[in-house]
This record gives sequence, C-alpha cells and structure tokens, in this order.
Amino acid sequence: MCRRHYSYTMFPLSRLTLTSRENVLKFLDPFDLFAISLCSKKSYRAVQNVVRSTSSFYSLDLHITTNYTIGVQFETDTHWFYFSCEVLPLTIPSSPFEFTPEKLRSYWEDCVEGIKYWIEYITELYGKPIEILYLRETNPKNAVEILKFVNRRQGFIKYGHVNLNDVESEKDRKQVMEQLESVEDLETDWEA
Amino acid sequence: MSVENAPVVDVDEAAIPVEKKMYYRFESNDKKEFRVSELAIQQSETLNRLVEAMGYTSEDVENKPAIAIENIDGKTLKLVFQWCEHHKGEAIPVDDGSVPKIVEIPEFDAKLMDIDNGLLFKLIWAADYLNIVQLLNVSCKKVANMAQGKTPAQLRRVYLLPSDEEDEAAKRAAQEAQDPRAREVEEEFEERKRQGGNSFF
Repeated sequence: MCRRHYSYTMFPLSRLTLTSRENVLKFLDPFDLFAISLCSKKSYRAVQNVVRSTSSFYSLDLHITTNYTIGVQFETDTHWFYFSCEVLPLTIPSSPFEFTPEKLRSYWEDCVEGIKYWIEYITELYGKPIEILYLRETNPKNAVEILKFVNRRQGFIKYGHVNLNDVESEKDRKQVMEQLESVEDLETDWEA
Repeated sequence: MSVENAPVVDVDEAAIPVEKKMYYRFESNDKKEFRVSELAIQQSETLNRLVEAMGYTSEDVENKPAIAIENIDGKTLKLVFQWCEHHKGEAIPVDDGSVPKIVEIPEFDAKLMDIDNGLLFKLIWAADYLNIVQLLNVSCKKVANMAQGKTPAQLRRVYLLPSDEEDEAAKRAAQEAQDPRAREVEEEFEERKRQGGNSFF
C-alpha cells in the first residue's frame, strides 16, 4: 500500500496494480493515450497493451508532401478521433517537440529520419500497418527513401492517392513509381 | 446530503428491526469496526464470496470476532462501505467493450472521492482487492480525467511517471538487492578494464 502523501494534483499511476492501471488507461481518449506513451519506454509498453487489444478501431495514414506526417484515426460507432505527428525541419535550436491539441510536431535535422522514427513508433504502438498513403509536391528522392522503408516493414499499402506533377525528371518519377507498386489500390492524379 | 453524514457505514439501528436485515462485521487493519448490510456486501465479489463461504447466522455475526480485512485501513474501508451502502441493490456492471470506456461519475461518488490523491490511491487499491467493479470504474475514471489535454511533460508530473533513466536505476537497484555479488563482480570488472587487462578471467 502507498504510504507517501500525495497532493490533489499528483497521482502515482505506476504504483497501481496492473488491472487498475489498465482500467485508468481504458478511459483515456486516443490522443491522451498517445501522450502517455511518450512519457517513457514503460509507459509506451503499457499503452501498447491497451491499444493493441482495440487495434481494429485504428487506422494509420502517411502524408509525404512538403512535410512528412503520420496520422492516426480512431473510429467506433460512437467516437471519432484524428491526430497526427508532423515532422518539420529544425531551423532554430528549440524543443524537439511541440504538443498541441490533436497534433504533435517534432523538429529534425534530417526529416526523412524523423518520419522513419515516427512510422516505426506508431506502427509498433498500434500493431497496425500504414493503410493510406498521400503523396504530392514532394522531394522525389526523399519519397523513394521513405517508401522503401515502409515497403520493407509492411510489404504493401492498401490505398494510395498520388500526384507527381511536380516531379520533373522522368528518372525520378520512375523511381517513385517503382516504390508505389506495393500500393494495392492506387489513385493517381497527374498527367503522365 | 453530505458524504460525511451518510447514515450507512456504521450501525444503522433504524434499519435493522424492520425486516431483520442481515449485517456483517468487518475490521480494518487499524482495528476500526464496521457493520455492513448483506445487500451492500454484494457489490464486492471478494467479500460476498467470503461471507457465503463462512455461512454466518445473525448470532454468529454478534458472537464471533469481526471479519478482519488486514490490508485496508479504517479510513479507506469507511469510504468503501459508504459507497457499497449507497449503491446496494444496483446491478454489477459488465464491461461492454466500449472504447474508450464510458462511465458517468454520480454526484454522490464525486463527493465521496473529493479526497487527496493518496487516499484515492488507497481507495482504488481497495476496490481492486475487494473486486468492486463500479467503484473501481468511477475511481479510475477520476484518475483518467487528470490526463485530459496534458502534454507528456505534464503527464510525467501529474502521474509521477519515472523517466527511462529512473526505471533503469530502479531495475539495477532491484537486481543488486537480489544479488549483492553482482555489483562486486561488475566493479571488479571495471577495475580490471582500467588496469588494461584484456580478459576478466
């Protein structure tokens, strides 16, 4: 039993029994749960146990555009939530994270490494592959590297919405398209 | 009615003679005694099974010692039994699998849980131990509400979540406590490395 004195503002969550701790986590909305997962490796595993048991309610999408973002959608008969992790270039020394309602921004010297980090973090957390890909107005070389990373991890992507109008080089376009062969249902929106 | 004045935990003299309701006596680990109605006890799966197994009559309840609950103190047990008496006769909720879980905290429960977080911790611990499903739900919901809209840094403070470094240190300390020789071996190894030895053995 707890012998320490705790105020009205602090609660020793990690000292609860596993049943009670999981019960607390089950009351949290998906974004608050995600925030808890960022607190430590132990918190990550605790959240992973809870969300993986309800993973059918989650779907993940990846946006490869001028910025790179991975989005998490949660949908049941009664609830709908969406939040995302956006990777941005580190321009001035600042906090590596910015946490705003329904969005986590993280700043990286190498944004490709940043989005790879979040792809791994989120797909492992929810035990789900990325289902939807949005690709447009992006650096083709970076897009190829990110897609190769995704393809190595999960083999295929269910849906893709792609616009390569901004990719001028035929060689670059071909390389991107090679990586898009893993998309099962590809919707293109550009003049070939 | 305030929670403090709720006429439910200790002797409810007025209620006893009317229908000869069955009451049980429980004692906390700090020797506080409580009389609790049979119907209220049904909220706790653990206590309900215990009293069923004991098969006490009304005379047994008066003549035998109170049933000891050795790991819950009187202050916490009072809250638990107040809650059970207030909610006696209510159906035990079954988890319907809704995600996130949905539970409303009734006004009585909110007032009952207007306590410091140390006592709230003990209340959750007791609800879990005594298997009081709805009390566990409302108390865990209260703790979950503390997380709403917080950043990870704020959550670490609110929930006193150890960092990875603190978890590692605690793990090492636990391992060393289990095997004091391990640290000696590690120190000897480090010393030999400093001296330029290639092999420990």
